Amino acid sequence: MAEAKSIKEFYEKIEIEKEVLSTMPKNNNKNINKYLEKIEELQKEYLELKKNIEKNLDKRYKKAINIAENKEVTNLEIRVKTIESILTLIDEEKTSYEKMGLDRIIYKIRKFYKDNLENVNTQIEIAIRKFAEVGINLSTADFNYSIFVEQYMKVFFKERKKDNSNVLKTKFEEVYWKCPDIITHIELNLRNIYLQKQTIIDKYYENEKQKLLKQWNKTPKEIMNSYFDLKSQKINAINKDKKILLDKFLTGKLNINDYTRRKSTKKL
Amino acid sequence: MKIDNIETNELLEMYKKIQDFLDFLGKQEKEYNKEK
Repeated sequence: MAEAKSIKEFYEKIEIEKEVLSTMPKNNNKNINKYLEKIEELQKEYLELKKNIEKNLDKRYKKAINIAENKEVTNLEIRVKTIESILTLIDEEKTSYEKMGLDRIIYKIRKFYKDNLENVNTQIEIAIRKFAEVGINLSTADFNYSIFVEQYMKVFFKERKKDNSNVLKTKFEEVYWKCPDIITHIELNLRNIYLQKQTIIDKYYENEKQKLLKQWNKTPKEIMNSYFDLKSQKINAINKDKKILLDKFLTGKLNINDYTRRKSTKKL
Repeated sequence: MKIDNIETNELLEMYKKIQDFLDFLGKQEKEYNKEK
């Protein structure tokens, strides 16, 4: 039979082969032998074709998985992350309270204290470090909102370097039994420290902002525009990157059937 | 028709079609060998 010129023709060819087979006489041994000979001939032909397709698919697969990720994407990611790390500092709408992250720290203390005391202590530790970062070194003396906070923080400062301190845990239980509002007291104490030292904190973040703007030689608005521009460049680069697209298909995040010619024509 | 020029998804469909046809041929072969 002549070689098919298109996929459609190829499928038609298979249907014709089936048709031919069905019309062949099989009423005696001689005819059955002829029929089996024809089957053997077809099996040879199509097995050969199947092997060729396998080889070809294997070649395509090897070529595809060897695609390296476009360096442009990595480059853009680094540039976007660099700007992201300074966005909070240059944001003119954010207060020093937010820039320090005290809003998030207090939210986490309030949210997690019932399930996880460790997390509360971690957040207190982060708050202490944030104050240190702006040049304010806190000690037990700063935690004087109530006698209960004083008692707890005294032990906290002694035990803060130890992991899972049982002494601290016992102290918390003891204080909590006497004052179930201890978490609110800690929260109010942290807010109070911030308010007392706000001038120093504001000055620190203003200086940091000015240093950055000088270093970048841009206004905050220009930096924001560069950020949006780079983000959009990054999205475009990711959408065009062969390696990323291939990984998405291999991990099932994208489905090859959504991108067949028939489907895309239908959508249009 | 050159295999190299066929799109991968079409080639995979073609592969499946061939496999189906080979399965059909295998069944026929088995059936008529029994009848001989």
